[in-house]
Amino acid sequence: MALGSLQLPLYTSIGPGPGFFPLWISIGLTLVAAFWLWSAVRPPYKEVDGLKYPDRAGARRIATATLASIGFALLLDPVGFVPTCTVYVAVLLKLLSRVNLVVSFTVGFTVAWGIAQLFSALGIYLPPTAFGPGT
Amino acid sequence: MSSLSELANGLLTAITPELLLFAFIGCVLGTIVGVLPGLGPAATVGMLIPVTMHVPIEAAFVMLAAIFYGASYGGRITAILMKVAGEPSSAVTMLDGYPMATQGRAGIALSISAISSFVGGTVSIIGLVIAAPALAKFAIRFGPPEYFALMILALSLISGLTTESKIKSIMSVLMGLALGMIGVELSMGMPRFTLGQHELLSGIPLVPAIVGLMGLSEVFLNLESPTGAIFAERTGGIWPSRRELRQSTMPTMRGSLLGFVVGLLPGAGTSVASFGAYGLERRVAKNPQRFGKGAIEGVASPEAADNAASNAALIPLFTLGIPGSPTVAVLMGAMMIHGLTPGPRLFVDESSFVWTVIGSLIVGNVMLLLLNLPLVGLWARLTRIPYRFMYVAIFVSTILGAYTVRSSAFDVLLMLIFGGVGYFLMKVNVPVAPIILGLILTPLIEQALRQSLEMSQGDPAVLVTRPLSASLLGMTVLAFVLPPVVARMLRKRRLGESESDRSDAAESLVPTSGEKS
Repeated sequence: MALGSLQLPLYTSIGPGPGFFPLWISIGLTLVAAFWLWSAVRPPYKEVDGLKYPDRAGARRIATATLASIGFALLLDPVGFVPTCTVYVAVLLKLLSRVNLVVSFTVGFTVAWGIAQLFSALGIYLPPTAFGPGT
Repeated sequence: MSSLSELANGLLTAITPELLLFAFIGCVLGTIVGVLPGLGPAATVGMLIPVTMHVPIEAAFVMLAAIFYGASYGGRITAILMKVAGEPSSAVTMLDGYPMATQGRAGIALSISAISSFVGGTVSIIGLVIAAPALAKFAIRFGPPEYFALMILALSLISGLTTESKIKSIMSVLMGLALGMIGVELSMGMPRFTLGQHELLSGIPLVPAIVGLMGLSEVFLNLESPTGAIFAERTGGIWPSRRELRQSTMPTMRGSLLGFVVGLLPGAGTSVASFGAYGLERRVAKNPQRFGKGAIEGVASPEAADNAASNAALIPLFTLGIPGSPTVAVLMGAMMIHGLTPGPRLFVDESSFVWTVIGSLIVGNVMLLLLNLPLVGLWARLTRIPYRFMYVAIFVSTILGAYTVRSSAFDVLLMLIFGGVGYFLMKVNVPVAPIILGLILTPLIEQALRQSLEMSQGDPAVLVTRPLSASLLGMTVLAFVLPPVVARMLRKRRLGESESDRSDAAESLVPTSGEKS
């Protein structure tokens, strides 16, 4: 950030330029980070809190939800809302809630179709399905 | 026009059928999401901002006020029934609310908490009506240097009081300020730190940032170890007896007044108010041993203080443009998303809007009381739905919320990134609220500083030569210097007391001449 701000004008004829504020913020951040680091490596380790890692099952749930959500974001525009949301809900129900696959997909489609109809009635845009008819 | 007639107009607007419907939807949505364990009001309001994006501005804020109240109330339900606090202030309610629930008095604990909150909120709204216009009139004299100093003071107060570690809070504020730099800079129109992404030219969008940092991060934390079943199975009756009402009247009033005063201080937060109220009740109680074992005063006073402080925190927002608590910072973000600039001009330029919002606070407060007393049993049953089924609804709603504001999948990815960052920061005890505040205030701070320096032809002394600005900067310095000094003095006093206790004890162990014989 400091390097980036140095490439912008720091001062102009009418006052501070685009680089002025980021430069000072980056200096502040560097100083605070250095102080934090210094506090962490010398006793009595005041600023250090042990990072509590989630257990294996917890980590798997977080990873599942994150990856599924990234997939949702990437497929939403090219594939359309209803199929993407159907698969997304089904994956979350199956993997997070341990629901039967058929039930997961049925609930997924019902939720996705219901949301699409509701948003369509409210006039809120959702990407249309890329293949075949539908919202 | 006097404040009262303006309030009457605002109330009349707030009780039109359309706005009442939005208030109802907001109360229900806020309570439902607030009931989810681990989600506090700030997270709930943040997650539900996108829902308000597609309705007229007055309706949006009536709904947000209702969500705000609903979320706070939902948090109490989990605190009392499940012993799970979504935020520190609910933790105080838990101390006596949960023992009441285990004694089969959950319904009474919930209804007393609703009634006390209503009283606290009402007292605070009366204070808001009296104090806010006067303060706004005073603040209208502020120039850019005063604004700059004021915003620096707000940042220092918020950062100083949200966590025990100052360094982490400062880091958090600076991260927010750094994120606020992203986008096209206004003086020369140059893009800054956009990494070539045209979606970032207008800056970091607030909705994905707020939803990610405040909402999704908490959901990730809950995913680590999902809460299962309800702990208190039966809610019992909901109507408190005359004796219970009498027992909770004075604590409610004391809590309301204390909460109002504490809420006025930017950064003090609702938890300071509710912990303070609980401490006060223990101190004035004839039998303090009852506390922690289901004392109704232990529920009434903190609840009143919590709601009074939440509403009072709106005063610095409306009059000075400074959010007094993390939840109000999220509300400030919502105002800015809807194109409003909080601050003293708000009372002049958007007078009818401000009074409608204040009117909607009253409507939200009343509606929540009417809605929650008969529905205590229903909300209690909601907590029995396994949390693993709730995740799906939360994820779908957050994604839709982030997407529909700009119809941008990029915003969904941004929200996920902020969710991950927020999760990590929470794990290392770095507060995330100051990031939001920094992100919101950066353009305003930068503009105020630029205008100040332009006024003085580049001389930074303008910030300290104007009396008001100098006083505000002085208060900022005090906000940093005073707490450690006071803490050190208290520590010394405590050490002195324990040493004198020890010497007294030692003296009592030494046998006197009479004893010797």
